[in-house]
Amino acid sequence: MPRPSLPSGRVVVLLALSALALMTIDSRGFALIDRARVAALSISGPIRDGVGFIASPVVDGYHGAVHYDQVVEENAALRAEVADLEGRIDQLPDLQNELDEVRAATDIDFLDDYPTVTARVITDRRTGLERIIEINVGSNDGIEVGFPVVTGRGLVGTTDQVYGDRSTIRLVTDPSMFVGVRALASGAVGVIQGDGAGRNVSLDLAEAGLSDVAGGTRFVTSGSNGSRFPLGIPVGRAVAPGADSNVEAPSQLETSAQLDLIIYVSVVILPPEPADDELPLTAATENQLTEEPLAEDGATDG
Amino acid sequence: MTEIRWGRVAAIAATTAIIQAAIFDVVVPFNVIRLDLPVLLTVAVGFAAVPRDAARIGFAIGLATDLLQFSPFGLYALMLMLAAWSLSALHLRMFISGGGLQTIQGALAAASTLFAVRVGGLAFGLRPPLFTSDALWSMFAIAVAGGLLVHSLMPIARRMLRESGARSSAPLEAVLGPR
Repeated sequence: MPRPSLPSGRVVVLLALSALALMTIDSRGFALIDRARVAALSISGPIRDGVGFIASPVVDGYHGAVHYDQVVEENAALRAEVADLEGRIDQLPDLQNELDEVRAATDIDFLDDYPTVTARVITDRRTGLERIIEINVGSNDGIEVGFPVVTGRGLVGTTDQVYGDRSTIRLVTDPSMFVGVRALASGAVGVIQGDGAGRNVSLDLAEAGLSDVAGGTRFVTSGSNGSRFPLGIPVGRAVAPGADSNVEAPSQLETSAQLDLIIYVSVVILPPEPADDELPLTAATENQLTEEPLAEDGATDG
Repeated sequence: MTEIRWGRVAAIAATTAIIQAAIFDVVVPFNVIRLDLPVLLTVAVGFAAVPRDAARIGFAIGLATDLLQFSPFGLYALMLMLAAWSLSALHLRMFISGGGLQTIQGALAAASTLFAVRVGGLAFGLRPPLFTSDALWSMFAIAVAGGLLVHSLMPIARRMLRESGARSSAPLEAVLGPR
């Protein structure tokens, strides 16, 4: 009688090490893996479209049935919002002044100065681990990795994988997403980090601005040095801490953009980043460069 | 003894990943009820193959799934490989029974595999829901799907294997010998 095959621990260890090695390489941005994924997505794109087309009666029926209530609710919510906005029209000049002040203080061009490309969401996948949104514009349309993606309401995310005529969006709720933000009213600055799809984003405020931020405070992108997000893109509203919370300052932001159901977005086309040797010198760097020879001279003299 | 038909494995794994991406990642009723074909196929492989083969096929299914996702590349390969290997080893030792228990086996295996994938995602920097009501409902949904479908997927899993020599690939026969 043949003996059963024993679990091959060696095979499992080898495969586990291979998988861990792949993850390590991927985390370090190994181009080959990115290319493999882009190739797989590009090659499988038409096939997925074909499969999706064949299944479209079922998919469309599902969306029509499931989202009908949502559309009705959204319609009602929009009507309420219009009424609310009409009531706020008087406040707009004040808010505009605040925003102008922030812009003037940072002297950074506003989003209006950036060209945008309108894109349609062609795939909105929930994989169980993450949410993947594909749009119908890619490198052929001038899109590059890291371009901000917005709707009329605010920031959605950035372009993540870009290929030919498609791109994927990394949502602002992605845990790997960090965005510098600024409070519209007080100017308090902080950083948001995604906390997973379907959740509010985490807000980490700088110590100086903690007392100036309350629930409902609106935040926009800070446009700080090194950030790829232009100043002034609405990001979200601070969520007031719960009554049982120990902290007083909000630690979460409800995104301005409706991320549940995204159909159209705009991709902000950023100018090419200057090469390192083309970067303008900051005043501090200039001082450092001019002072270093003096220090060396002094040391030699000493 | 069995051999793996790598051509069939590649074709089935790629087809599974594409169907998953094109249909079942898009049609997610209530954002909860998501049919996870790679997970279900992995469970079927775990039930159909001996541990060594199950681990290797699970790894291949995971790699195909990884290619069409943006989670850390290799995460699905690792988790599905471990799941297939564990299920195959458990199936050999504990679950040698048929009848109605098959449904329970499929349900438990599918739910635990999905949970393992999510824990793996959590360990590698993602933040999938684990114990929220939505997460528990989705586990229940995959358990139902596993109970109903896993044993229907086992013929597909067996097609990825080829008999070579006297010994059989089926775990039951691997333990008891060819009938």
